[in-house]
Amino acid sequence: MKHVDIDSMVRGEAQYIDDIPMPSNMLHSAVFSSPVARGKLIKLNTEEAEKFPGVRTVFSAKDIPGENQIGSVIHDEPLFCSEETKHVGDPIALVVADTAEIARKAIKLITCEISELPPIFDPREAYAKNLISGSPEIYVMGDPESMWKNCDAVIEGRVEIGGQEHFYFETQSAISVPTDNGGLKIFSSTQSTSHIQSIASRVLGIPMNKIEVDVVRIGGGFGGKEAQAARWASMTALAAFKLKVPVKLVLNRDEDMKMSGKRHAYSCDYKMGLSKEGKILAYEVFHYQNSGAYSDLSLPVLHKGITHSTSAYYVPNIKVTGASCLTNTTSATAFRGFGSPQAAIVIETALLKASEKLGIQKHELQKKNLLSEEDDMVYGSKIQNVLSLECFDEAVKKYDFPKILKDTENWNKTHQTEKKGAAIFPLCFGVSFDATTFMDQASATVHIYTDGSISVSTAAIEMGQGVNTKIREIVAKTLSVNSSRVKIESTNTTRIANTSATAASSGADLNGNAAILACNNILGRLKLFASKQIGCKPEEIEIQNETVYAKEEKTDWDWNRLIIMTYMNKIGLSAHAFYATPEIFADPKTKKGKLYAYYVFGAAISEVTIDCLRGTYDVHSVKIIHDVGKSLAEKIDLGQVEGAVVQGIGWLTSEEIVHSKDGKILTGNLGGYKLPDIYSAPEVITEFYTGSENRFGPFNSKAIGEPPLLYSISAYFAILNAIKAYNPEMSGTIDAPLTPEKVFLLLHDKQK
Amino acid sequence: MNTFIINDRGVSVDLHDGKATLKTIRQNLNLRGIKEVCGEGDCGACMVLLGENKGETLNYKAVNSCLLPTGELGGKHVVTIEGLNQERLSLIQETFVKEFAAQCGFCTPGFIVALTGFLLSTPDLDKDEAIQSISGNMCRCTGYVSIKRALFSILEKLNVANFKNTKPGSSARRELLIKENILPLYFSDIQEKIKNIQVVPFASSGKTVIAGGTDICVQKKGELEDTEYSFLSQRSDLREIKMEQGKCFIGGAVTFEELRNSEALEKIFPDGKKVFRLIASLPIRNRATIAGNIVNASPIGDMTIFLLALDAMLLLSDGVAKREVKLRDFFKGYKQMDKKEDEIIEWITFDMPKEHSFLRFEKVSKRKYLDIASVNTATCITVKENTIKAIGLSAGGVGPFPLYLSKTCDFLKGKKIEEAVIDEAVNIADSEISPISDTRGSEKYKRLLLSQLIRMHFIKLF
Repeated sequence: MKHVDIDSMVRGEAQYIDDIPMPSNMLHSAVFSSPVARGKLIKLNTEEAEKFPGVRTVFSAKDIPGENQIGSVIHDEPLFCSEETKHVGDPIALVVADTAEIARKAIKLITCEISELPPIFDPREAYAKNLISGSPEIYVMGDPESMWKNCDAVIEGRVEIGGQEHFYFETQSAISVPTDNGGLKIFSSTQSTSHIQSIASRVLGIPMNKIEVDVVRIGGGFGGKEAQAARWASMTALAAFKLKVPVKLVLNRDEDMKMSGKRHAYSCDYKMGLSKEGKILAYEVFHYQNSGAYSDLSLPVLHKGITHSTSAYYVPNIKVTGASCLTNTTSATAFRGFGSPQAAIVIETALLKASEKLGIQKHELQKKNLLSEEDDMVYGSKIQNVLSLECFDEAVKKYDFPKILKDTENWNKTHQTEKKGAAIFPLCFGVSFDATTFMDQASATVHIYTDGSISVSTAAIEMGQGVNTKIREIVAKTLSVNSSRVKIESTNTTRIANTSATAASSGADLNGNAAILACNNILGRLKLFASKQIGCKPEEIEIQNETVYAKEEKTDWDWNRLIIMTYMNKIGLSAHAFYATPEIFADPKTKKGKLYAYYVFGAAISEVTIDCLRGTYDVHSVKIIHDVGKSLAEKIDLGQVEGAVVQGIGWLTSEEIVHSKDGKILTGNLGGYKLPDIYSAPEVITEFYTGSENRFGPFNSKAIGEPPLLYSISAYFAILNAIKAYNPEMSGTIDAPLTPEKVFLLLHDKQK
Repeated sequence: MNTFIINDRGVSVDLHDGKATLKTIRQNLNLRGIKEVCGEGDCGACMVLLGENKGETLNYKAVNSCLLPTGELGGKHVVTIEGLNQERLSLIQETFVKEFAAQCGFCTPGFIVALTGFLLSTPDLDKDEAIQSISGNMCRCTGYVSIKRALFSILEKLNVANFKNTKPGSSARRELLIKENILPLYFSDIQEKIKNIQVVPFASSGKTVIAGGTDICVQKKGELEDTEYSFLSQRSDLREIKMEQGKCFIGGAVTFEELRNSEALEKIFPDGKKVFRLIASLPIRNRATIAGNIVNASPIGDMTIFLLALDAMLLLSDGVAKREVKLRDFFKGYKQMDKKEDEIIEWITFDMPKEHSFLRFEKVSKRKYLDIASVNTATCITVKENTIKAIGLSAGGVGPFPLYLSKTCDFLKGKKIEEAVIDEAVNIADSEISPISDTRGSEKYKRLLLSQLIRMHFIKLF
């Protein structure tokens, strides 16, 4: 199997926004943003900037012809602040100039009178002041309150989990080009063409059909360009619409990290009750989600975290509360996992504490409580096709977890200053758009040209996850042609309308299924035509490897002949098809529904060594059994698992977002914000679980994008286990990320 | 006018010397294969190879073009990803394709360039050095796992003997790489082409001196074209490391990587080649200079900390008058130095450690490699009969500038190495420092960490 466009990537010929050749009259732009975390905007002075040589104009809220509003779920987010700024980096104005360098210089000439207001950075403080989006979400199953007295052990605690910078390599960027009908063509680095189209239409006050959005590929997204690409695209749209020339905006890294949203930080309280045998009887958790300045996608993220609060475990009595707390940092947004990794860390922390209290090994506790078939979930579903125990056992057996534990123990007995740690993590991840089930839809357009080559358009955005390669495989398989005949087109709103974001790991599922429907539609016509020519029934026709078979006999009709003759006989060779995930639904009133079409399962074992004197550590390996159904493209799925694991380890170890007391980001580029490098990345061994079926996925496949990120949680707990081996008295808070500083202090700080 | 060779063609550009090569290449030469990701030399997405003629050899180094001023290009060969493309994929490209070692593709050209640079400059095919060569390249998608698979597969396909038999920089090496489908054919006569370039002698007139530029280009990001520069790399006399009469002299234009690979380091600090991997990444070490690290005056400068332990001396010159200052007396406060504006460090010199002496360098940072230290420390100790005869000890990240812990040194000199002595030394060191809480760690952490790291210096002596 071949990757669709990796050849162009290794040659540096793959184009991203800033590489697209543009007419020489194109202008460039840069964003002026709030220098303070919170304040009333009194006066904006742009005169000096406008006078700067090479500057064309400066746009701000007053120049917006439509609505100054880009909020996706709740309409609480202006394109440009006009009354109040809510975080450092909150956009206020756009300078348009001959070059980006000039625009950036001119920004320094803009001043702004702001009457500062006291900012809030702590989500609990925001909650106490009722600064939340929507209202707190509460999900209850059974009766935890009455269970506590029946429990042999009750533990409680608090977990702080940090945010994470997406650090997609291509920064937020867009170009808008005026068209001769008074509309615009927008090139955007986005995960959702229709979102850009609808927000730009709202901002400009023109109908959506006047705006065409086109995406060839993006240089990484990870959720950061699901909702948040719209702001930058809308700014260029405004400028191009007003100035009637193409306008480009490419944030540099410092601007991107200062202005764009990140993974949600969480502060959580938990309480868990267990029987002395180690069965979880009741669990209560409160998620204080740090939403940042605006609502953005925080409520859907919160919801997914709530539904994943029990992770891969069955909990008969549970109460989950979540509040999306508004604070004065950048607006947090979607990020691979969408709230579920934070929720999983909380219950794993509770289990760790429970294991200490009960004197039962944590992995035994984990196994005792794994989900089984038809278990009740907090949102009213019975989980089906469960593979929790299968994957867990397979990982334990395949990677000999008992031996790993034994070796670790032996090592720790004989080594004073270097300690090893190991931990296992079971995965259960629901696939679908959760409570926003309306997003579980997609469409595809397939054209077959007279030479037999095939063009496929879907809503899927290629961001490195390999969705284009998968869809090409799906189309080639459905039509039984060589995949080299299939071209995946750019994602474009004129070909595919009303797209859902390529998000929730659903890109290949939704768009692949739509492509299958479109292919089958054409295939039906081809078979009907061939049956008439050959003289048999349509259902007796099969196309295999580009050859027509009638009644299982090979005919002299090959693909090329079939296509050209179908065309000559005036039969359409194009089809558009629509797909919506069947069976799923959500009832916001009762909080019951079948939120997920299916679940992805798996298990991971991590091994680490810490240097107890220096507080540094190495994650050596993450060994995984992963359920991907029947893989559509093994090398792509493998790459998704490996990349997600390392990205997750980054989040839980070195990737720490630090703000100054007044809300300025101090880790605003790679000098301070530490992505995993080649040395810190562990060995990742991945085996796909065989024997898994999935009728919702194209050709029995399962979604892959997000779930494996959670395997990194095994590394986090392996580090904690190693710390405990050195300092069994360790009682400090165990917050993520576990930076070397935190590890060092947990090892050596006796007072804590 | 600045004349150089970009890939297979000569170009002359009339641009500001301070303009980042990345921007020159993307905006003026219209080659869009290399990308801007961080703009600070921390990611490698803008990697190019810089080829420089030196007598018979043509040496290539991988450098971050975002931190490379256009003024440095004159008479050199600049290779971007486009300059490595042939009709068919090169061995490196082909292997990346086979292993699916690219996902979003944005970082990929940088990796291909860096690995090509490795094969041009490696004396053998050492696996660790191969990884080292791409350790300055970040990738957000793959977790490096498929990239490592590709790298090892490339190494397996190549014959070590062929590499050992062809010196880095030699035309034989380039011919080998052409034969192995790593370089395009035009590399065959590239050296002639470079020799034929008329390089206008550089008028080093600008006020701001750029040595490696790896720090100043970050500090002045966006303003690089507002100043006039002179480039220290033009001073070929300052690009050597000499050992004379028990002293070592490091020229003011010597890079980290030149020191790392030098005979002098091998002699005084046999572990140095490995330990110095902890300092910056290869493309940064290829540009950053030792002297630049000193005048940057960062409290945490790794090379400064190393040299403080050796109690190095600086030879300063303003072009006319020369004078000497001890490195430990050079710093006067945060970013304050005993240096006039027009003075540069011409030489750094220290006594070569004698028998019974050894050097140690410790560094702890949030990420082990390619990171700024939270705390670093170095020592040079002479021990005879379990007694400390002489000692230099330094500490970074714990004060307004890199510290020479003189009280601790005074205390330790002449003492027996035993636990109580080290405990007391650690206490004295703690009284000599004044760390502050910042993104690199809290004050408490830095104090505790330094005490641990000082202990580490002595741990093998017990």
